[in-house]
Amino acid sequence: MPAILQYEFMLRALAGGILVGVLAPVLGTFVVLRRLSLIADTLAHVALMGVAIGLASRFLPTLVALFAATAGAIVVEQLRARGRLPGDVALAVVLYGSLAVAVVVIGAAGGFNVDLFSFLFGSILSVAPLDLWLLAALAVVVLLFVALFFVDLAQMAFDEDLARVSGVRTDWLNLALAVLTGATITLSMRVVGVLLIGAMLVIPVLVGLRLARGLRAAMATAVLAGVLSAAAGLTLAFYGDLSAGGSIVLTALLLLVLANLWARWQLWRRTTAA
Amino acid sequence: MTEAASPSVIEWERVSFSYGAVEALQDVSLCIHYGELAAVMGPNGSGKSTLIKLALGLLQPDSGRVRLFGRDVKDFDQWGRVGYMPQVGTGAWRDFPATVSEVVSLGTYSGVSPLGIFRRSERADVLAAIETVGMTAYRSRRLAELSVGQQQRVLLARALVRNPDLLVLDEPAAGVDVSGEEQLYAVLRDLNRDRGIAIVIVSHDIGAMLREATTVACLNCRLVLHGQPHDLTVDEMSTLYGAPVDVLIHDKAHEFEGALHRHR
Repeated sequence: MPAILQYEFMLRALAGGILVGVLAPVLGTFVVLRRLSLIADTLAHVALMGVAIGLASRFLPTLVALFAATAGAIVVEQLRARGRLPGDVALAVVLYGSLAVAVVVIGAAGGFNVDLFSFLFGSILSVAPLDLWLLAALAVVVLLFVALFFVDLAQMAFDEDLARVSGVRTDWLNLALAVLTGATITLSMRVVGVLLIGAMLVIPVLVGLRLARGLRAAMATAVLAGVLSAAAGLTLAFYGDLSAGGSIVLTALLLLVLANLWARWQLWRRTTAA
Repeated sequence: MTEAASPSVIEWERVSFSYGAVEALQDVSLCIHYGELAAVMGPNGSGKSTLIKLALGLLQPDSGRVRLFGRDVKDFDQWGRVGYMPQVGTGAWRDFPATVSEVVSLGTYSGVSPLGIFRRSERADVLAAIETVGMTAYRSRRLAELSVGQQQRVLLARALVRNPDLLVLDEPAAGVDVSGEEQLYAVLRDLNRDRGIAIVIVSHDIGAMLREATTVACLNCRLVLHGQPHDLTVDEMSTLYGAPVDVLIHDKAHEFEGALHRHR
């Protein structure tokens, strides 16, 4: 048996990575197509604020981060939906506000420590059994949500006005999508890290969009790219003693480069054949 | 008011709407009936698109009422009776991976559906709608790979897939070449005359609207003119657009052929 599979912590990290590799691209497909990629970074910073408060108050940082990200998702969606601020401006206000609170709390609590670094950059050593159970439960909820409301979500991603005229309840679907994205980001922190989780919502989706024809095929390809990035990235991190989050995201970027090259090659073949 | 008592498909009753301090519509009353092919015209910023968004429930009026098929639009839930085709911009849906069939399938939406699996009858409706707009050969192509004119026809198929009683089109021929425009209006004429679908078109294309429409409503924040195309006078159109306008009448197959040209 390979060394990587002989350690319980590594099996937990791999299971967590694969769950993140499925969850993030599934939600990310709708986030990217609606040009709301910044929402991932924003909610990640809101979660960081929650982590900082949790660590400073010594009260379950993951739970506080989950609560903060859910509240942040609701605030962002309300600001966006009511048109009080343009979508990207609403996200920027919440992002920088949360980051400022996080920095102040971290400073007041005596600065950075090992725990905070594991949330910031991800750590294969820090994935606890509880994190895995929470991720698995979230995966069930997210996959059920997307399976049941796939047409509604696809319509919203295509054109929100068209979706509303088709009878889609865009208000609560938008809210549900934002809350689930916040929860996914929070529970993925241990594996990928707050600073890089946004990349897992975006990069595998771009791979899917480059390679696949059809919305379902693009989502399936994105999930494949996400799982492959997580598994290969964690393997690299284990053998190379590298940061888990960085290795996963660099693997995803490599897949994106390969997907672009493949798409260009296909285009060149079609052009020369014609 | 019950649907049986009213032959109207859309009714705006003393409707006003403002974007903040900017007034878009002021006290507009207008009725579109079954069987009409109605053109909504007016200069930029005249409130054409706002009028349509109010009818579709995308905006709520500051005052007045909007009814769809006799029901207040706030309470309207029979969205399968309404087909909407938004304006297509250059580069729209550039990254959207859906194929023509998938986009048209989205129009069959009828509530929660596990992974969007459609019934056989819905698949037949999708193919029929794609055939109606002459896009059968392109049904496996990605929307992003099509020209603007072809994308317009796909959106029309999407709007038609649930066999609506009312079709609302926002600048359907914008960015479309002459032959594409003629094909589009030929489809719309057939839908209006053969299937009796009420059609409302928002457009800047005065010539095409006067040629194709059975009724014309001209807006400039208020409802300035409303009637049949041949009721409109050159002076009225010139006043509406703020520039001198000539009407050239062509003797073609349709009951009214008109084209308006601006003086240079």
